[in-house]
Amino acid sequence: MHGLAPPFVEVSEDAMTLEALLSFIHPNVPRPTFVSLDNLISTLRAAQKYAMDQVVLTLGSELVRSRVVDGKVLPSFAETDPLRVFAVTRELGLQTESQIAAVATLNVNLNSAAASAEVDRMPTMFYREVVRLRKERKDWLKTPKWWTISMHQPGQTSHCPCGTRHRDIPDSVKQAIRKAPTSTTIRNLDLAAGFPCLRCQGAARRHFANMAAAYDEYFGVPV
Amino acid sequence: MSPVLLGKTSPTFPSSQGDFILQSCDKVNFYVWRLVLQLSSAVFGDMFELAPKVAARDYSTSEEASVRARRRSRHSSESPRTLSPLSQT
Repeated sequence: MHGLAPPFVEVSEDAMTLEALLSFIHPNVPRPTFVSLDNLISTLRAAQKYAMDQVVLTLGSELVRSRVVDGKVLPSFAETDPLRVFAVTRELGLQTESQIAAVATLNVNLNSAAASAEVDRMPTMFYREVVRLRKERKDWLKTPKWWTISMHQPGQTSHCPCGTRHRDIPDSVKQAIRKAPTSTTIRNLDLAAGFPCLRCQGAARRHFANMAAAYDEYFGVPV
Repeated sequence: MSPVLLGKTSPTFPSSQGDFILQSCDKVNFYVWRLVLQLSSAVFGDMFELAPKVAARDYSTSEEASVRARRRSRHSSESPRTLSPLSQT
């Protein structure tokens, strides 16, 4: 090299993190596709540390967006590790992303969620927000009208030909809804075992489709 | 010998494409444009404002910029450790 080398500065980030970070600000450098949540979080933290506000916003949205890796569409990190993504986005003040991640935590068992440093360090206040959200959704689903299915057949005035007029929701179905109180759960319930009569099963499907639609309408974001 | 010369250079950010070097903790050198860093990062922006004063050993007048850079970085203990133009080595 001729003349003096450029000035330099040592930073505490490793090469992988630094390369990912710089690719977001330098022209003509392709942006990375994050395969690992660890790498994305370390890059996000570096962006926050150096006050790269635009990069923080971009990386925050990467957390809740589906990814294409090796030609395959993968679910977002918020779907695969919602509690960790919630902890990070809530800490960084990324409101929209933390709300999406909080809703995604409804799909996981909070007691057996994968351990991570971010979750371990999460303030109790944040954890209570997640618990409160879950309680709010469960309370809505406890509304009595959802727990009894009318077996009235469309276009007819009578009950189901099998003789059933009304039917309480089977315990197995209730447990599935309580475990993950989301509209996706409600739409994908396994009703075959709980409703042997096919007509009753059809009535149950209509009931749960209405329930899921009402859920989405009430809470806004389909899960 | 300068520590910069000991590290390897990132193929994505080669020496022909930058007027400033960021060296990662595992000793990989990234050549970047100072202007790009300055425009993208408030912390580096403040640091570059501070840098010529440091080189001139004018610590008294650089105090304000130094404090601002530390404030902007939420993890001040992890802020860039050195700013060392090779002309000094």
